[in-house]
Amino acid sequence: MKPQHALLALALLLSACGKTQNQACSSLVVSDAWIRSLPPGPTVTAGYLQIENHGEATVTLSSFSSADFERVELHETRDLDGQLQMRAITGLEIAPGDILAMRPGGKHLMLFNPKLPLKPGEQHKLNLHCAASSLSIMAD
Amino acid sequence: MKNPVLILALAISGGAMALGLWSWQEWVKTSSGAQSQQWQAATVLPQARTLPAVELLDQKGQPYPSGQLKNQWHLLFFGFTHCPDICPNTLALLAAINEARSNNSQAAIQMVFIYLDPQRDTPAKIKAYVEYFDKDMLGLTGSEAALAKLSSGLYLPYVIGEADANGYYNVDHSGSLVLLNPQGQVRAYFSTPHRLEAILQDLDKLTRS
Repeated sequence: MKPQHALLALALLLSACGKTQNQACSSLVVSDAWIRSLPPGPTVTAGYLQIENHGEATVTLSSFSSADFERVELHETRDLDGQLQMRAITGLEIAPGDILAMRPGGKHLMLFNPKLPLKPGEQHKLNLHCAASSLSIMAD
Repeated sequence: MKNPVLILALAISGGAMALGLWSWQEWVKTSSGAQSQQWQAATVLPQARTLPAVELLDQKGQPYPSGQLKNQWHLLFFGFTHCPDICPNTLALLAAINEARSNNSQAAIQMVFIYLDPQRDTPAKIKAYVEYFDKDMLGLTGSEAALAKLSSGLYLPYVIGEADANGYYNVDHSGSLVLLNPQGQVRAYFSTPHRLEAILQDLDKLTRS
């Protein structure tokens, strides 16, 4: 190992020690999960939820899924001086005690290609995936 | 859209148009002086401007020239149906404006949703979409050239993005609402973030003036 590599490894080790990482989703508490119902036509809709980390360590959400949709991505709407952009984001970190609120106009789940037409009043199961475990919730 | 030069050109022209609109709105605010104090949300033009003349299609697939947007107040918003976050929110806002005006015995404003993605948004899809939010809403679309001319003439740029591995693409677009007077001229803009109460107050004054 070259000296600069050793220094880099030490720096990474120190930074890892400074922030405890939880590989599991077990400390996350999800509330207010809902999916927007839309008329037939568009093949994508949005989901919103609030995720609170009750644990002592930072949790990284790696991905989302649902058996009712072909795929689920995390997106964010950004308002750049009135110009609205929507972009996919990956690897979302939630620090201990933090609340991640997905609301209209900000972060949201993009639910692609529902396998059956969405109807108001029905519930859908969403899965949140962390490195070592997953968490399932029901969204209205 | 695969041509990187075209994407770059569109991005640059979009940025230039956004800067143009911002500078222009700043100039309007300055030049209208004390008058601007009375507006909660609107950027009101000192003089109404002509709407670009373009051929559009309505949700029944019938020709709808932009010159037909007159004889009553119209409020325009640009978007696309594969926009599940901001667009439904704004359509709900437009429906809420007319509901509040109806409760106050004020005349309805003709709400218009202009679809910037004619490749995916056919008139039949547009019909289902707008009428889901408001049965009286008008949905319009057109050729890419017509939509580009209309949006650039209103200083509201949009950019159709490149498709991802699954063929999905976004359309970056303005969140502004455009108010047309009964003569079919641009009277005011409402920029984001939208506040229903503030918009209602300004619309009340504008449509009575």
